[in-house]
Amino acid sequence: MALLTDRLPGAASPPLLTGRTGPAAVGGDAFDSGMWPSHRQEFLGDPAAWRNDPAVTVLAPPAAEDSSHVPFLIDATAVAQPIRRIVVTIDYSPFPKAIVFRPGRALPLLGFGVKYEVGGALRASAETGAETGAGEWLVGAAYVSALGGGCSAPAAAHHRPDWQQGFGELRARLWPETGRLRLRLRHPQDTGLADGIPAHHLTELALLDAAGAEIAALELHEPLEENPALTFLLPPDLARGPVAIRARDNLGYAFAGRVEGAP
Amino acid sequence: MNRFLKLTSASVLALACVAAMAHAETSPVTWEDILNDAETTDDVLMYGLGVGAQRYSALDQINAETVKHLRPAWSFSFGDEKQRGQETQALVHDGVIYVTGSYSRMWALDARTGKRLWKFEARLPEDIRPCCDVVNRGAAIYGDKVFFGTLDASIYALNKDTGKVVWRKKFEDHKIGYTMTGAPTIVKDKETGRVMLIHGSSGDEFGVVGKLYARDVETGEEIWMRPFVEGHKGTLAGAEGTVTGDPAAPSWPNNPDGSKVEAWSHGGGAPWQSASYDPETNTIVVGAGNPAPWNTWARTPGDSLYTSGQAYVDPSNGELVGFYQHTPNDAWDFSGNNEIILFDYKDKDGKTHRAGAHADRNGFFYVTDIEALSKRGGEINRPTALLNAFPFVDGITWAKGIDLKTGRPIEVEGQRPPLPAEGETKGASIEVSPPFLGGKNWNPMSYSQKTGLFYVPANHWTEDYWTENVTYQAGAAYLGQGFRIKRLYDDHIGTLRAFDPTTGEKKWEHKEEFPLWAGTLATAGNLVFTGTSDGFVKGFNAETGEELWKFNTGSGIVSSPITWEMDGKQYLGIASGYGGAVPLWGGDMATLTTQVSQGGSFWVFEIPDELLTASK
Repeated sequence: MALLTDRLPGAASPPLLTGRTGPAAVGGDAFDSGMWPSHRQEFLGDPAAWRNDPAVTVLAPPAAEDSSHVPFLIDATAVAQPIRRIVVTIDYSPFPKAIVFRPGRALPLLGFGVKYEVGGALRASAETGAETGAGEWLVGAAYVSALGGGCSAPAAAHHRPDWQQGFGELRARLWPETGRLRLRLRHPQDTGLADGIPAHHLTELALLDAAGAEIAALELHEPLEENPALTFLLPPDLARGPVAIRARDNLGYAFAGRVEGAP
Repeated sequence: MNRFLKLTSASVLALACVAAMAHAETSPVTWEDILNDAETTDDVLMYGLGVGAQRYSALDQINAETVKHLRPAWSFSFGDEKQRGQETQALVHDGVIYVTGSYSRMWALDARTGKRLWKFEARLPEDIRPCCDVVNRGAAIYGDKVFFGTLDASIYALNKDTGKVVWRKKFEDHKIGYTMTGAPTIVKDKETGRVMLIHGSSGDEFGVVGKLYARDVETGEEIWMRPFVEGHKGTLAGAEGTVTGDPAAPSWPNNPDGSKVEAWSHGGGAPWQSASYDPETNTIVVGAGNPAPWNTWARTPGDSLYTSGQAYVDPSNGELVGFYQHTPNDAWDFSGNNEIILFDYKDKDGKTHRAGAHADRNGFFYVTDIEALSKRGGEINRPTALLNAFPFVDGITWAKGIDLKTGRPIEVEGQRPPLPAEGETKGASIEVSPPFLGGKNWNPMSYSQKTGLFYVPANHWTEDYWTENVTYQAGAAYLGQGFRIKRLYDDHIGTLRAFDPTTGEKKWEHKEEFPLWAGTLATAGNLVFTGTSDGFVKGFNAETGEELWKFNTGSGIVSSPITWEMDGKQYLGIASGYGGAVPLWGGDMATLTTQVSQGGSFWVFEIPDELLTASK
């Protein structure tokens, strides 16, 4: 049983949010996408061993209210094997590779928002196994219908006189009782497609423990939403905090912060 | 299992090769490569084409005979809608050209084909404050990185093979006027053996305190910072450093209560152009900008040290060891920023000196004594370290000449614009030449080792000039002066001139209808190259000044040409794209400058193989 679906209101009856994965997807591509085979080749290294697996849950609204902020939650806590990394790809996007999540010592659960250029599937491909050797890819996906345009419109920050105002502001909260860590970083996340605005987006983000050792790491790309909000889940020993947050973008701006366990 | 694309192992291999090509690695650049840049003809590794900034090449395949065959090999468009002044000088290493552009952009291009290898575009805030267009003058290269400054007072290190950011340092607040347009340079300090990136900033028109920085090339960490306003404190190794000059700053006035006047807190002197380096004495040589505000009375009495002169800095600790001031208490925004070319100077008695050559905005050409100015210890300001000085433009009004004994200008009375009369907001207007745009501006001159002449891209113009009341307001222009640029002659503004540094004799001149705002390049092929504001790249006979070749690039040229050798052929490279200070502040020049279209491209010229064979 996936950790999160377990916690959703009305988990016993059909939940409020429906994971668009499950038995229907096993053994083939439920979304009949022409891009998925090439994304598998390009972003997963063309693995022989992959399968759609309901243990990798991708939660999303069926339709995007705002194409600039489409919320997702990936929950792979039901996967029995250790997870090396989760590669998040978007079937129809000018930037199909969105995120690579290395959960490390965190639980394999990640909440985030992305920009959608057109409606389509988002996939979370979890590579199982130890650090080296051939793993297996377990894939979950969700289909989101969207009006689109999220990647080519200028960020909201550019409607203000100075996009640098508040830029890099980092807010975070850690709930020790559940291990939930939520952070939000003010960043325009420019894709380079809006007229006259060069690409400017986060490239990496890491959580570190009190000793400075890495807990989990993200490789980030253009589709991540403006002022991204990210949700992680930490095991009890790490949930007490403090947790350091470090991030960097493609123009060399570096961001750092620290969050204590909320009382 | 649903696998669409099955690759054979052969095609996988082919794919891998393509990927490797896209990120082809060129060899790392060493300090010895940079030190020898002036002698090696297959690369251009430094702004100024060598640590002495002579802008001279020993190549002679393109020469006074063959230059007529010169044709474009390729041209590359910078693209975007960001077409402003392209004041850059490109670098060449291992068949790759690194060129910067307006709005803090940079490209790596295949030198053989012009194919773009990568592009980098800084994301700039909306409130950058460059006084004189959104220009960039070039990059530095060392190891596996290229370095360049951006308009938001930041400096970037990019991987030279991928264009990815390795580090970025914001060194000052762009909101109060700090910005960066000049090309940084690399120096290996002889004492510590440390390789460092040397750069300054711009911003004198907004009342910044001019500073020179040394950074670790690998991390960007500041090694030291030296302010060029006397009495301000520098930094060293991440801690407070020494004060520049006398802590009491006697060259700046005091208020009646003994405190320093407001102008001292915002004193200017920014080294916004590129430093030369004298390996023999291990000294950085760089021009210091104009004092702030322009209004002389806000800084009187005193010489406003260390502004509008040439500064000699010890790379080991960032100490200012020597200084020669071209314009004491500069009332005219002459600045001292223009390049200092290091060369062997033969005086009238035939004695050779290691010297610096500098053509100042104030209209005088200076030959300074490097040995005397780089000597450690003693008084920093050394006005007598002067070997020769002579005017290089016509109609200088502010001074009769430079006294070779005292090293100070012989000022003409009435050329310091008077204060506003009681109850007035403006002072009486006077006419001054050269105007603040200078007898020669930033665009570098060159020195030919073959002819022994300097090639100075000069301008003839004048200005109406009057004082205004001035108070400092962060982020606003801090001038206290009004101006209007006017013509000096009906038939020309620009004048490319060749000078003998020993006699001060003008060997030849070539007049241009438009202002000259491009750098020059001298070659052993008995040629001098430059660009014109109406779009031509031109080649001149270095001995006679005869115009031998020209090509129209479609927009004005305000950049510096380079030349290099590749696969047995000599190439000439130059950026095209009009802009810079003249179209913004040129007053009456507007009738000329509005005729020029904007652009943004890099041009490479060669002599086609068949013509090369034919001309042999």
